Order: sequence, then C-alpha cells, then structure tokens
Amino acid sequence: MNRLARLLCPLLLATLAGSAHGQTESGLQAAVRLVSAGEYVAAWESAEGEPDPKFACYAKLHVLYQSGALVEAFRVALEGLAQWPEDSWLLSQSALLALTLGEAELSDELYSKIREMEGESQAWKGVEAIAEEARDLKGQRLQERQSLQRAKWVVGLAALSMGMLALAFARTTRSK
Amino acid sequence: MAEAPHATNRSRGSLPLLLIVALAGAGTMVVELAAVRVLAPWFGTSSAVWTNVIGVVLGALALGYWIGSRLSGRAHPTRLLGLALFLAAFVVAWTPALSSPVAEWLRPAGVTLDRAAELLLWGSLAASFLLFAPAAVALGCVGPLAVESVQRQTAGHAGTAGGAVLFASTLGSLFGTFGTTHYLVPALGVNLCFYLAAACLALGGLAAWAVGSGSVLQGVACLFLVATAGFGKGYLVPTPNDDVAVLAERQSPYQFVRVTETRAARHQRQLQVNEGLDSFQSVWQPELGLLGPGFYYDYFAPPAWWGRPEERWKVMVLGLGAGTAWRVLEGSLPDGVELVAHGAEIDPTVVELAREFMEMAPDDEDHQAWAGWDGRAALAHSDQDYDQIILDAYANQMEVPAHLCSVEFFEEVFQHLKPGGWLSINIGGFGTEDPVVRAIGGTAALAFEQQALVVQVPFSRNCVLYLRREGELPQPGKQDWSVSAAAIDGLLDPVTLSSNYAWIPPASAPLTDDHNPIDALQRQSIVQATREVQEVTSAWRTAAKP
Repeated sequence: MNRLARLLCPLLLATLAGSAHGQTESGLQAAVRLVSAGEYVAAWESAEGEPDPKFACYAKLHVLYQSGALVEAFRVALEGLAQWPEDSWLLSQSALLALTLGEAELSDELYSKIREMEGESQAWKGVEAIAEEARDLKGQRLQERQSLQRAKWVVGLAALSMGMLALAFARTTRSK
Repeated sequence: MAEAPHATNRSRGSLPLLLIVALAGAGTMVVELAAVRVLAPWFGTSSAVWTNVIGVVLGALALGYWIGSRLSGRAHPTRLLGLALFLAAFVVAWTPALSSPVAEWLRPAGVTLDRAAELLLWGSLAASFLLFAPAAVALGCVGPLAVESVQRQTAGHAGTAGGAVLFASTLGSLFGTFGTTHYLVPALGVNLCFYLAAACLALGGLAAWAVGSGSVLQGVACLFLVATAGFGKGYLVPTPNDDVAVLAERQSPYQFVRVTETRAARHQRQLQVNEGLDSFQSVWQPELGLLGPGFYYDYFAPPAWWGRPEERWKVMVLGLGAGTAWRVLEGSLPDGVELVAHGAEIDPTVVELAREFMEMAPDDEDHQAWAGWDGRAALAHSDQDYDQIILDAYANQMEVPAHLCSVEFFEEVFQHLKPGGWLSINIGGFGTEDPVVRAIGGTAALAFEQQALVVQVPFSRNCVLYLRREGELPQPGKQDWSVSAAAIDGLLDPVTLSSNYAWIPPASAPLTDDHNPIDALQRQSIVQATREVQEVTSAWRTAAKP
C-alpha cells in the first residue's frame, strides 16, 4: 500500500496544475498544497471549486487517495476516465486503484491500454512491473474461480456418491 | 438366579469388543477435532468451517451406521468390524499427507480475505468430504457391527448389547475430545495426532480380527497397509513468501501460531494464527510508537492525547495478542505520561511467543498480561477502572466473538472505565457503512448512551470505533480534534474527510447475548464490500461504452 501511495505522485499533479493555470493558484494546486499540509477538508473544497472539470477530477482523486478512501478514489477515477478515456494520468491511476482493490481484469485492461498508447516509452517502463502484477492477479482470479467450481463439483459428487452407497446397501439383504 | 454366573462370564467375554469400540470412539473424536486444525491454515476455523467439518462427519457416520447395520447380518460381524477399523486406520493415517495437496487444490495461494468468503465455505466443505468422510463412514460401521458381535457373544438382549456399545463408544469419544484439544495436538502436533489415532484404530482392528478368528496373515497385511502412510510427507502448513522467514511455529490448545520476520529493509515481525490468507494478529517492529500507514493499531493512540492525562494512562487491552497495542501506546503517549498496561489474551502460547520474539515486557506493576483469559471474563474479574479500554479481540482473521460485541458486554466495559474514559474498538470492516461496523457501533452506542464515532483507517480494511464514558467525543475537523502533535495529527487529518468517518446512533435492535447474528453480518460485510467495488467497475463499463 505504501508503495502505491508513492506512485500516486503529487508532484506530477502540481506540475499539471501549474501548467494549466499559469500564475494564479488553481483549485488543483491548492488541493495538492492543502493535502500536504494535512488540511483535507479544505483540500476537498478547493477540488470542488476547481473550474476545469478535468482538473477538478484530478484534485478530487488526489485528495481521496491521499486520505486513504480508496473505493471513493476509484469511483472518481473511473468517472473521470469515462469522460476522458485517453487521459494517461487518469488511466494509470485507475489501473493502479483497480489493482489495489482487486479488480484484476479491469486493471489488466487499463494497463494494456496504457501500453498501446505509450509504446516502449519511459512512462510505460515506469509502470511495467505493476502491469505485470495486474496480469498475475488476473491469473489468480481465474484460479480462484476454477477452485470454487472444483469445490462445488466435489461437494456435489461426494453427496451423490454417499447417497448411492446408501441405496446400494439398502438392497443388500441381511442374511446369516 | 442360576443363569447369573453364565451371564457374567458372557459379559466379561464382550470386554475386548467394548475396549475396541472405545478406541474407535476416541479415534472418531481425534479425527473430528484435529480435522479443523488440518483445514485451519487454508480455510480458518470460523463457525462455517466447524459446521462443515461436523456436518460432513455426521453425514458420513450416518452412512456408516446404515452400512454397518446392513453388514451386521453377515456370518462374521467381528471380522467385518476389524476390517472397518483397518480401513479407518488406513484413511486416517494418510490424512496428514493428503491434506496439504487437497487444500491447495481447493484454495489457491494468494487469495485475499475479501475474495475468499465463498471459497472458504465451499472449499472447506469439499476438503472435509475428501479428507474426513471416508474414515467417518468406516468408523460409523463400527457401532452396529460391534452391537451385533456383542449380542452374538453374550446371547443377551439387543438393548443390553446396544447400551454397552454406546457406553464404551461415548466414553472413548470423551477421552478423544479432551485428549485431542488439551494434550495431543499441543504436545504432539497434528501429524502425530493423526498417526496415533490411526495406530489405535489399527490396533483395535487387529484385536477385532483376532476375536473374530480371522487369519493372522491377513491381519498383518492390513497392518502393513496402514503403515504405508509412514511414506507420506505428513501435514504441511502453507509456507510464507520467500522474503519472509519463519521464526517459530506452535500448535496451541486454541490454534496454530506462527511468528514470521520480513527480510526486507523494514525490519518487522508478525504473529499469525491459523492464517493462510493475507492478515496477521500482531506486528512488531524495533521502535516503539506508531507503526505507519495501513496499521489500525495507531488509531488506539489519539484518546490519550484527547484525554490529556497528567501522569499515568491506564489501559486494558482485550485481545492483547503479542502486545502490539501496548508498544504503539508506549511510544506515542504525550511527554511525561507513563503507561500502565493491562491486557487479556486467551491463548497463553501467543503470550509466550510475544515474550520470546516481540519484546513483550515481563509482568510487573505496570505491565500485566493475563494469559489464558477471555476478554470478557478478564473484565468481569478485574476490579480496576481504566482510562482506556481497547477491544481488539478478533478470532480467525475476521470473526468478532459474539460475547464480545453484545450490549451486555459493552455495559460491563462502561462500568470499568473511569469517568471520561475511552473505549476504542478495532473492527474489520470495509468502510463506515459496513454492516458489522454499524451493528457493533450501534450496540456500543446504546450501552454508552451516546453516538459512536467510527473512522475508516486509511489504506486498510479496518475501522476504529470511539466511545466515551460520561464525556463528549471530539468532532472530526473541529478544534478539539487536532492535538498539536505532528505524528498524531498526521493520523487524524485524513479522517476529517466526510467519507472517512461517521457517527453511529444507538441501535434500536442491538446485538445481545441472547440474539447476536454477528456471523451473518460478517458474511454480509464481505459480500457487500466486493459488490461495492464491482458496481463501480460496472458503472464505468456502462458509461464507457461507445
């Protein structure tokens, strides 16, 4: 979890926010600054006050993630991604959160999309190891589903076998 | 009256058979109780797992009784009794070796708790069928065959023979029950326990074979077959990852306990109980104080700052484990405040390991670990009042014991707090709307006659509840929330977001000692958490469709 926290880089956000708004402190910049200062409620208010919807989404995601509200952060990330499907920052954060919350297939799908967009760039190399984790987790989920099916089959067959055994002995005559 | 001596002689003649039946009874209970230990590292020991094991064994015994009753009319019931015991011995002897592959086949490594609920239920049921049903069917045959044998030998009434067999079998089961939990498993371990049970059953089989005048050669051949189990690898608990070293492993009367150490840069030890999943019961790191992001223990620290004690902070931890809560508080109290730490831990083995590997202080005036004490019993026994009571009594990763979350229990907690004292409860819950969190919070709130404050511990699947005896709780984000200590404020700041805390009003239908559906709520909790994340994904897929 700590590793993931480091990956959600606030500095990147600050840079994005700076380039978006020039000199005046934007809602996004304020949110990043306030989170660093531990003022989460004020940071959230700043995020909500950010006029650019995409940067408002970035800011909300940042505040929620840094506060540890992972499911909420995941919701905001995917809502943003639905609106800006090619946004690489939202893509990478959504993929990371999906992995953290165990949504293996989605995470793998999003990392594949990042790979398509980024090719063999440095950006991809930075997340390649995590994408590998997403693939592993996807395999794990498949194994879990198979194990569950297997267990249900075993229970069914065992119950059936016991019933048949009981019937078979019912036909056995008691003779001395 | 003239028949009495003959009757007595005939009764004496049935004694070997009754001893054999007693051995079978003991063997049945050894298998049933040790069965849960075998499954524990993979499936835990929740009530669902116990129910599955008991249910399968009872079903298989019923089938065995039926088969035995049909076979009892055959020419040599005593020899058949011997064969049933040999068969049971053979299966029991192979159970340890088969248990690990079967369990791994049904529950792959790396499953996390929130994903495992259904798998644990079905997996433990399937494993019980595969591992324990065959032996139980064979052991079930013993009763009717023994009754028939005794009756033929004594030429007495069926009721007399049946009663004698039931008496011997139940007495054997009694020894098996107490012996397994209190002596065999802790002293010998699970493997030897099964091998011993198999040896007893085989011995019983041989005796029955001899009583039934079976061929010696065939009897020896059966014994040899049972002995082949010695070639098996035995029962192996799941091994942790390569970057984790196992420092100690013990079988206690309660559970399998293990201490592990990470080889990574951050030196950390964990105490795990029955844990094949992704959690631990206690954690230790060399420094006292807060553990860092993701550890709920840190959230036991704020009350000492909100309470502003002058000299001493007296704490009782119910569910002490290896003393993690003590170490966190010891290193995070306000300057000049001394910790007086009491704690109750039901499993003495956990305390022994904590003293050996996790620097738990020896008992003195200020540190008292009540080893072997249930949390509620310890509280009832204590005549002391505390500044803070911490409830951290989880069993089997996710189970809150029902008697530690009833309104009657929280009333006892209330009575043991000083005026203004704090109750902090760790609950494994997926957010402030989690059904378990709401139920326990509402129940405790009723006992304390105030709203409970629940905070979601960031980056974890835990919530911590706060209540106070005759005192107001601080409001997240308000002036009394912050304590002007950077480390503690670092914990409290993220919680001020409205998604990370909630107030829980007193419950209108609290959990009580009489009616406590906490098991059902726990299952609901896991289902709800998984569904919540899946719904977010589904909503995105719908929205993202062109």
